[in-house]
Amino acid sequence: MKPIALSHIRPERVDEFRWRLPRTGPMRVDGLVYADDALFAAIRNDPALVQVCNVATLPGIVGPSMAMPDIHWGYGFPIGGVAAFDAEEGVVSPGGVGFDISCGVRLLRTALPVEQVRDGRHLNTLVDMLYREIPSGVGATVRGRLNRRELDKVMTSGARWALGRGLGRPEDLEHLEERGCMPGADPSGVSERALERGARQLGTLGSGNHFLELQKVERIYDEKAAAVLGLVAGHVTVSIHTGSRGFGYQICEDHIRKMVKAATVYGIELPDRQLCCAPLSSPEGRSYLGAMACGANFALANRQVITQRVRDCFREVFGKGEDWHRIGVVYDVCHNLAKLETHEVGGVKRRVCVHRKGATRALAPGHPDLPPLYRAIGQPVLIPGDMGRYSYVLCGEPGAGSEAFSSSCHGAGRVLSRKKAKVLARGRDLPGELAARGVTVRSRGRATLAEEMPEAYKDVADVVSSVEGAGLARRVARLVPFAVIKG
Amino acid sequence: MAFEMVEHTGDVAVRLRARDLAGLIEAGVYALRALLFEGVPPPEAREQRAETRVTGVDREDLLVQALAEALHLMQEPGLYPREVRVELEGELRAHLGLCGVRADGRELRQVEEIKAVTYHAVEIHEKGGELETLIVFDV
Repeated sequence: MKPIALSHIRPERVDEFRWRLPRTGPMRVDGLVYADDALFAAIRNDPALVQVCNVATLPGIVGPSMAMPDIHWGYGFPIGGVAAFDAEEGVVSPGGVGFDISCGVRLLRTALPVEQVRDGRHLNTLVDMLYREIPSGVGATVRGRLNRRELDKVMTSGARWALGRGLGRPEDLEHLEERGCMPGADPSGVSERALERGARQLGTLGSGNHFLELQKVERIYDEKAAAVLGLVAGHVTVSIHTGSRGFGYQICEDHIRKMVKAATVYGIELPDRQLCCAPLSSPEGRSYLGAMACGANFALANRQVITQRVRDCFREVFGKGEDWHRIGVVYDVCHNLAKLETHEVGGVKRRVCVHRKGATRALAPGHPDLPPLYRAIGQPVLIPGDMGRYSYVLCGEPGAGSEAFSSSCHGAGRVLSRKKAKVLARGRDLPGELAARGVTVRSRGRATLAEEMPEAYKDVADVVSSVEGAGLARRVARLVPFAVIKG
Repeated sequence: MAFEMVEHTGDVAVRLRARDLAGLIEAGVYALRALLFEGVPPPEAREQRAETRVTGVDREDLLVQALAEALHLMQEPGLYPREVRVELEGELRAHLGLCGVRADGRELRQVEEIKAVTYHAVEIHEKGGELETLIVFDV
């Protein structure tokens, strides 16, 4: 099956924040892109739209093939892609999750006004310690190695494994997606090579667009929700962006190889082989979901270990304990996952497998899967921007549930390729430029810093504006960085 | 046998060109090397070898699998291949051998982490008497 040609895509503006890509050729459903006029104009001729249409050809798709306003060209699914498949008749596609299974963001609040942390002496010491204690960069590993028994526990217990080792507090779990452990994990679908890769990577950031950021709560939009989340204007927050590292990448690679063959066995024609898939009910489909859950649990454990390292560093630098900094988890949410969920479609409850690739779950107020404390305000949605500007905390709104299978964007979305970003960065002192903006940066590699420069990304405020305008989520707070650690 | 980086927003895309399938695989390995490493191999570094065998369901699958295995041999051990040998048995089996040195972190450094070799846009076709394809690496 050939991919849909870009010239055959005839977008129709639905309203100020929605564009329909009508069914054509082998598409089973329409495409739907959430974006205002300016954001859509920027991607009108982008291959990402072809990817939205390609996803619409997959069997058992329910509702449109969607993309969030941070949409950009990925591989297979677009980045920012969301698609739901019937639990009985539909398929699961590892490419609809991505190699970094359960890559996600965790936000920590503190009781610290930024002035107490950002004074020159403490800040540099704190940032240097975080940079040293939380391995980042290409090939980041920790000193010890998890044995097979421990890895089994990580795969099946997620963040709860970390608590069992004294790395966190019980209340941390209350504010994690799935309370820190994705159900259905089945290690039998995880290869020895994946285990080998994961054995020394728990507690590491990795490289690329992964980061640890110290931020100030700069603006509150929703006082009531901010109070529930413990966000106080002028206080320090910490964001951690990382995923399942080599462990998850290997799981995806292993199962894609099986799915390439499976797609042929099950007679599934693909416009892009990276969309390879198998029926959810098939042995291949079930094996992937079980292994994917192992990857998700590794990522949850990873972010939990890093959370404890952050607490340890604050205690070490400031000489004061947890009663002083009161570092707590606001929420932890991932943006690369496939989940079996129940949604109302055409007035009828249906069980579907929602694939979110570079998209975040966004449960509306009242949803039973929310922690009791958050049920009145909706699920926190953590949207990192670039390292020079700002990030946002949103909360899910009913619009996300009714149309977008409770989904929202995940970040700013790239506008420049890494190649172009490096060219633009030539001869520039990026750490100096960021310092002039009040951002202290530590990075292992100049290349990564160039690739991740602020100009490489859309303004996340525009992305969030479209998400809010479409009724998917609403703004709660804006956070501005004052220190960034990148791999 | 040549490779050329092309524009891709989210990841890294490379165009590979070669006389034959073995040449495409070789070009892909050199493209991975160019992305992964910076610097020059230290002259006194000890030579190391690594090899692997792969099978595919068609030539595109073989190319992706061969490069995925090459990535595995290069990335985590930090092996910079000076020489690449590809032997094909038909279009569905390949024996890949790498001979090179380990990055020492000073004169030869690993500067990029590549998550995976993807199937996206891989379509081997003939152009100007050579084989050509695009391939995207997830970074």
